[in-house]
Amino acid sequence: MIITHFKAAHRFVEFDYAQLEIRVLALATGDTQLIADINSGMDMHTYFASEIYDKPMSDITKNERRTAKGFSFQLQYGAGAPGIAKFWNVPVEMTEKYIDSYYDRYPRIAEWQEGNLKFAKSTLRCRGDQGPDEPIPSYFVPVIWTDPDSGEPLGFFRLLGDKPPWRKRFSISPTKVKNYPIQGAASDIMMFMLRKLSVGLGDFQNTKLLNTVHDSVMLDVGDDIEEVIFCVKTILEAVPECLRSLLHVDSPVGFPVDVAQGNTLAEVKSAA
Amino acid sequence: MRIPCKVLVFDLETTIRAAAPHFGATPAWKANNVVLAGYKVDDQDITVTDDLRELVAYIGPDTLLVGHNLGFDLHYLLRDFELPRSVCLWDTQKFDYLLCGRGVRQPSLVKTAYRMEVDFVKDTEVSERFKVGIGSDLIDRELLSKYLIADVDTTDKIYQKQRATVGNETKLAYVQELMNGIAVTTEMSCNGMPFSRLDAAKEVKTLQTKHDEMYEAAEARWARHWPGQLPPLKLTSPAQVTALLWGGVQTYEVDQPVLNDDGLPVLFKTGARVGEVKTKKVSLPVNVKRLASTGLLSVFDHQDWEKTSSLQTINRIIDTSPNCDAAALAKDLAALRAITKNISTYFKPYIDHAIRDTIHPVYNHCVTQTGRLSSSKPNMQNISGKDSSPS
Repeated sequence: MIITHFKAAHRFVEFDYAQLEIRVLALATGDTQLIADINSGMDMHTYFASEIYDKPMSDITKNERRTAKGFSFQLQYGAGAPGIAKFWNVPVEMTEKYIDSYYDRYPRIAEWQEGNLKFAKSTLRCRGDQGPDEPIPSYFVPVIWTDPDSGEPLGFFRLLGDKPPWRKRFSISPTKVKNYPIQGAASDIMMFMLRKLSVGLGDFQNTKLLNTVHDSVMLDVGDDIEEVIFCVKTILEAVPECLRSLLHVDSPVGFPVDVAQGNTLAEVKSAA
Repeated sequence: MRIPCKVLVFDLETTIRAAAPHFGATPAWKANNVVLAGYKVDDQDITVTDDLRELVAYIGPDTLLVGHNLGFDLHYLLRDFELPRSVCLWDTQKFDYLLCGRGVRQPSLVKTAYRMEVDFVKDTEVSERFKVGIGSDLIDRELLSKYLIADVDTTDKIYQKQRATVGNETKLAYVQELMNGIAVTTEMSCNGMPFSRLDAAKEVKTLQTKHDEMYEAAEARWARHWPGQLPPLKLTSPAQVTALLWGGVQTYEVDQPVLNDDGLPVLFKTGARVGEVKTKKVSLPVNVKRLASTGLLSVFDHQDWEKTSSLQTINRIIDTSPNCDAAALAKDLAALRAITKNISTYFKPYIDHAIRDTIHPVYNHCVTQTGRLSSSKPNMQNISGKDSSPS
């Protein structure tokens, strides 16, 4: 149904950041093992599958890897062992083992998350001063970016306190505290790079920005397809340079982009 | 970071001529036009004009465009003019959203002014007209100019205060780049996605026919398991389907005579029904036998899974006991719901929002708590390859 802007031969091309949030997590926490694993190209899902199933990495099946991958995403989104176990219909001992193994390997992630939880708890308050529509009670979590001079965060997420009926006091959501700064930084990066892309594409008349979904951007390319792909990929992968010049942040990891193309969106999706 | 050297605060008042209310004043609707533009360059006085070229003449690569909910106004400019791609933006709405920790959704100018301690009372004489769909072209020019000047003046004061709250260069660079992103998403909205409404309408018809045939066959199949006293089974009723899957009590209504204290029927004494027995509706319970096997039931009890007719539940039934009767019903439901979802999530919103065979989605910068973009009119963040037929 979605068709091209161009009459001649064209391609829909999707550029998708690979593992954007795990790379942001490495950037936020500075966990040396996570950085090393990312930079070495290690298959983390196979590694953790071998830990969970007590098997060498070479014997891990596709299904076992897929399970470990699912655990990983849910853990990143702040889920705990019982929640992951329930979702995947596996014993809670298995997900506990996975989580222990994950934090043993990446101790700085646990420290960083603990730090955010402490910060959030210290800011939980029941009265606001930000105007008529301020959610109350609320608490704050810092964005991952800091001012290079003062070390102060460049912004905050203000989250709404929960008060389930069985609780006497307002509480914070560990899931949001762990996840929002990572998802937020990933979306910040996306915003920075989309702007660079828009400016950089100025020379290509037959290329249109079509859509963006979270970590990806879709283009309709009318001609010079290979050149456009090279150019866009180069612009989008220059995240470390962008972070250095904009926020004085040295990224220890790269931000590779996967490319999928086709004559229809269906072809693009199946190629991705 | 490049520092913009000219600050241009502006606001536009437009017609509301789109044929359907959900399009409103959208710039994607070509018949919608700017009636008046108000703008202020650096420290100069506010100017009001009906010629957009006057305003655009001030926009260069080093201009900072300032506005509230800037994407909307920018779309009008991008529609009719070529602007430098490197132009910088300051959206007082997005700044407010960032300042409030991404915890407020699309704050209005009034709310942002309140938070920034800028005195501002919205002129309701004009805004009430907008609310009921009266476009700017139908409002007295003098009244509209006054309204526009107040908005530009307030936006300027908010900008000055917001700018002063940004302590240092790094923070300024950070928020500035986040706001500049509005230019990109506005470019996407303006580009739009060409879309074949005709193909989509054909596809909807095909899917609807397929759905209706499947529904009729499935309903006939499962009606055999449904107690005859009850109203006819509807596979779209969550309560009925839940009862069929997991068993339970359903009720039906019957008319019963109203009895007096002596246990005798009460009759109408007057009116058209004089002499007839008075009746009342009474609900009677019927047990619906469950399709779920004992094994399936024990798995759900063991896992503490909810026994409903939700998508998650029916998928769990299919995974757990693929060969039982409950799974056969679950498969029917899954297939029917997949078609319904395809129509309602993808085809219908695309058809409803396409303007001359192009979709111009709106990208919302100030909605989510994480700072992610959301999209609406229609939502193109859930676009799927499944719904794109060959071009």
